[in-house]
Amino acid sequence: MSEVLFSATAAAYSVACVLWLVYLRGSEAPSLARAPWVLGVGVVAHVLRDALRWAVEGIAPFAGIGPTLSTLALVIAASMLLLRRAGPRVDVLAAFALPVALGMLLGSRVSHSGGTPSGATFIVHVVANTLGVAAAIVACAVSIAYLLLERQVKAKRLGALFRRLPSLEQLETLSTRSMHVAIPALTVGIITGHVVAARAGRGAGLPWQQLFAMATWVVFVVLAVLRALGAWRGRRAMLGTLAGGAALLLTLAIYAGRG
Amino acid sequence: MARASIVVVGLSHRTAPVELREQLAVPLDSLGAAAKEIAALPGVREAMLVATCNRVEAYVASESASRSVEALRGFFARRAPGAAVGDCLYEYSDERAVRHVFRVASSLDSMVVGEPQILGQVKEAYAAADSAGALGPTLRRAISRAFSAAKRVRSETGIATGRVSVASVAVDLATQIFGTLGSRRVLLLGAGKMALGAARALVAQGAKLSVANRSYDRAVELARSRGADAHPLEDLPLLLTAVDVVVCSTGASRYVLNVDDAKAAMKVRRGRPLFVVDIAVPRNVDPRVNDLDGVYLYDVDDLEREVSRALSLRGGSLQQAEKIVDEELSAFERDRRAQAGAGPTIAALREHFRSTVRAELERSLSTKLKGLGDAERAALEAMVDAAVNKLLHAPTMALRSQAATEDGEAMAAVVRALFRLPEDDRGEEP
Repeated sequence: MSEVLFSATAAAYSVACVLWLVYLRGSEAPSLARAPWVLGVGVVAHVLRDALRWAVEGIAPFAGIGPTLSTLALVIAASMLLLRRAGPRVDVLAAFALPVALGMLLGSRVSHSGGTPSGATFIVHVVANTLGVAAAIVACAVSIAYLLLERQVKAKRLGALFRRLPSLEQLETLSTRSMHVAIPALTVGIITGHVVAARAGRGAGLPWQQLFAMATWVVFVVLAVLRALGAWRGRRAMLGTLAGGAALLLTLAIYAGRG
Repeated sequence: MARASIVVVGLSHRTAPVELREQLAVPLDSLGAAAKEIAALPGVREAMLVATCNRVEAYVASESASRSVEALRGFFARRAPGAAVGDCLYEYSDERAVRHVFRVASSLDSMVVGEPQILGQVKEAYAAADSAGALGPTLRRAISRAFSAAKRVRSETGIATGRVSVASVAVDLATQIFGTLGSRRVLLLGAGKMALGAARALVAQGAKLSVANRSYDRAVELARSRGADAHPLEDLPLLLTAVDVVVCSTGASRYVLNVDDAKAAMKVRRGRPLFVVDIAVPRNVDPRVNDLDGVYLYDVDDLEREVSRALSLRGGSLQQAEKIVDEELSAFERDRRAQAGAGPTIAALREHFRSTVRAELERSLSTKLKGLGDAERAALEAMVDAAVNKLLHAPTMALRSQAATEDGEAMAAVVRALFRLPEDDRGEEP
């Protein structure tokens, strides 16, 4: 059953993503209205699958990097559904976030599942990081949309994206709000991560992984400061967000590889 | 009752000058009364009047197309006495009339093809006629189908997505950069006609206007009539830090806005985007301004290129839209044939069976079955009626289903011949 639900989730995420991408390419797609429903089905299947796995196999949502990746994918997909409330045309941003969610979902299969997490600090660490990474991925999806739209407006080649993406201003606001969620959450994640590592006596072990996570966090904080000061806006801020997102994914990949 | 003809008589921007259209204009709150007046004309059963700034059209369902055309021509002539209305009127009946209303509602007959207002205006005309009791089943079916056709045209083609004027392209661009324009400030530099049009279009979206001109008096004059604030041209560097959109159209022969000014302004703006529309020829804005981060500069060539692109895009959608109108028209005619063809034949068939069986029953009840009591008689009558209904169920269904096809008429004729039914008058079921 768990396998069926996993396949249904992956299929639904893929189909929803393709529907939005086809729409953004300029097709007059009456089926577009179905995309949120397909994504909704995927999210429900995902919740059922993870809940079933927890109940039957005892694998909790944050038990190791594999389940955590799956939870992360679920949070990203659900965020895209909630984001629809932010205004018209915003739902098409799912076209840029769902590939990452799908990658994480598939990655959760090949990554190790550990024991059930214990200790309040560890739970806070994992939950905060999950929220922070999901918000950062949403910010990256928004940044991609912004850069594509901005390029069309700047180059005076107004294509389908021009008519189908939210306005630059709206994208900037969404990106800022996502970062306002991501940075505090990642800060809590990094602090609790150090506490957990210290308690486990791994303070001096694998320093380069922790250093990399720290560097990623610094990128986000610098970005937030530059934005707050008004030094970085628009294109530059979006490129910075993407750089931060790439560093974050690399950090995740390192941790996933470590198991 | 004879099958109703659908007739339209009217005039539009294609056939009548604006002065005549103004003379025939009917305000929204009088549409219902006008429809009622038309419905009372000789030979007219149902009516609806569509009146917009580009067209005045009377749609009627009537017993005789030629009689109603004559009555409607008289109606229009009475409303514009002394004007040569007759020369500007067009008239279509039946399939051509239905096609016309489908095209009108889909905005294929509009001055700006794809404009969204006309569908709402036809809906208002429909509601007004309905409230006044001037509509009946024939027009209701036709106009409802026109709404479906229009909806399909808008959702399945790109006819409504393109931009069609320099001003509307400027508004689209500003909207796609800033989102809503409600809290935005637009600076109008100079007083060129096209620039005024673009500024007016932006203000219509809620933007606040500032006017700067080489002649301060002229700026004050322009600002006063538009509720804007006026500035001398020397204020430009300061204004550039505050406004969101600049529309330039001065008669200057050199750049009014250069890279250094724009760079200095962007520094103060801390990255807030600036949209510059340069409609002047020769250009007022150094093209290198577009290279600055956060500045989007469009000159008149860029805007006109986009207008042409949008128009050609609509051209492609036009064929698709006409195809949808054809499909909807075929479906409507099919349904109409079904409604008109099967109804009278079925009614005649049932009447024939019922009267024959009743006659036989009456004869038996007055002779061989004379001794039956009231209860038995009633039971026997009910049984006979039920038997007739059961016997006729299959042929009724067959007639109804075939009526929508090409064979429908032939089948109805065969049934009428087989049972020697009286020739129907092709009446239309309500």
